[in-house]
Amino acid sequence: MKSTLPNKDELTIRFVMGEIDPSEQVLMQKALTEDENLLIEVEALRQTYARCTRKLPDMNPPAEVQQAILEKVAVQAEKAAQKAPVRYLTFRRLSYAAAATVVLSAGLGWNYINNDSATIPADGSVQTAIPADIEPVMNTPWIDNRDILHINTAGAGNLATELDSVTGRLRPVDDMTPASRPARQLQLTGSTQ
Amino acid sequence: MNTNMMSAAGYTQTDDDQLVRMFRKNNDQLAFKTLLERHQSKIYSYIYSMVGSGDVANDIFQDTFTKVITKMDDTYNEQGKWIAWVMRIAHNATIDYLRKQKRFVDVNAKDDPDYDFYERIPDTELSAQEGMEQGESHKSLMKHVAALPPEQREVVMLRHYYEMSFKEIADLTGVSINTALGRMRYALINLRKMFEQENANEINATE
Repeated sequence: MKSTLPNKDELTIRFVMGEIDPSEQVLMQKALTEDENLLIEVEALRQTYARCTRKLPDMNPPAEVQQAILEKVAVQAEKAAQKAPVRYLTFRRLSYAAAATVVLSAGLGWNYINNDSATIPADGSVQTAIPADIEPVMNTPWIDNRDILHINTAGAGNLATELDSVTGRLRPVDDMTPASRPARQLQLTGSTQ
Repeated sequence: MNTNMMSAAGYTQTDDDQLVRMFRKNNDQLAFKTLLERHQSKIYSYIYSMVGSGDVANDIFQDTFTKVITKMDDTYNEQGKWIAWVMRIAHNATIDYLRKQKRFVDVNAKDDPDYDFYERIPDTELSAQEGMEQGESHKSLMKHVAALPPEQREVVMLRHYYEMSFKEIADLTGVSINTALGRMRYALINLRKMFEQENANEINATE
């Protein structure tokens, strides 16, 4: 009796090659009991495949081919080994540079904030550093903490004369502000303090 | 695992994935040598069975591993099996060669007269008589295999040497699973006819 398997050829080869689903396996085995021709075909395919695979030789490449490949491996490994330290040093140098940049930026930022915080209030208005016990007089030249010389020339006086009178009053002082460096500095100021 | 302290036996017991990592990260040449020795037979046999020439097989095999060495960092992502990646390279190189030649050659091709394929078949455990019989048997089989249409031969060899599933064969060769199965079926039918013809010829010769 002939089987009525769907996709008989496909199922047959999958059965012979051992790549068949369990449900299809049941179908196939049932068909094999019913169809003698199918059984003969399956056995013929199975024997042919076994004969073929049993006798297909395994060969190794010639020794010189293997040696040539291993020499290329050695060259490639050497190249890779030479590359690796460069990558490492580059990365390390970049790390150092990044760290130095961060420290420098933080230091400069801190210095800037300390300098400005003494004179710039939160509301952003500029406050001049006039000592409390000196009452600014409009016509008297004075120097603020930014080392700017202020001269009120609104009057009719001679500018050169006024400058002479100002510079004649200047004398060196020690700068003891906290934000300054520890070294002694020479500054000119109009303050009498 | 300290790779510097690993013995030769340790390498042979290490799996492919670990050996690949040792080669890629530590430039461990012994790891690569172990991989090569472990898989070279199947890859070389596959290439040879497809091209049928020792010189060509040597070139393709060497090209395959040159690509493996130089491209591993760029194209092998360690997601799949390393050997499957190598087999794909070998298969593509083989098919490229055959396409360039525009023909599939016989294993006894006349363009390589000095190369005797059957002298290369290992027979260390066979007696002289067994070796001769085995050699004749291999010879006739390879003649038949070489006579198969290339698409059918390809499926038989991929299945045998690379132990690929039909899904893997289908993916590699760019056809459906059913087509790959059909090619295998026709290959076996054709081989069977050739074996029967060979048997008939032998019977006629003895009469």
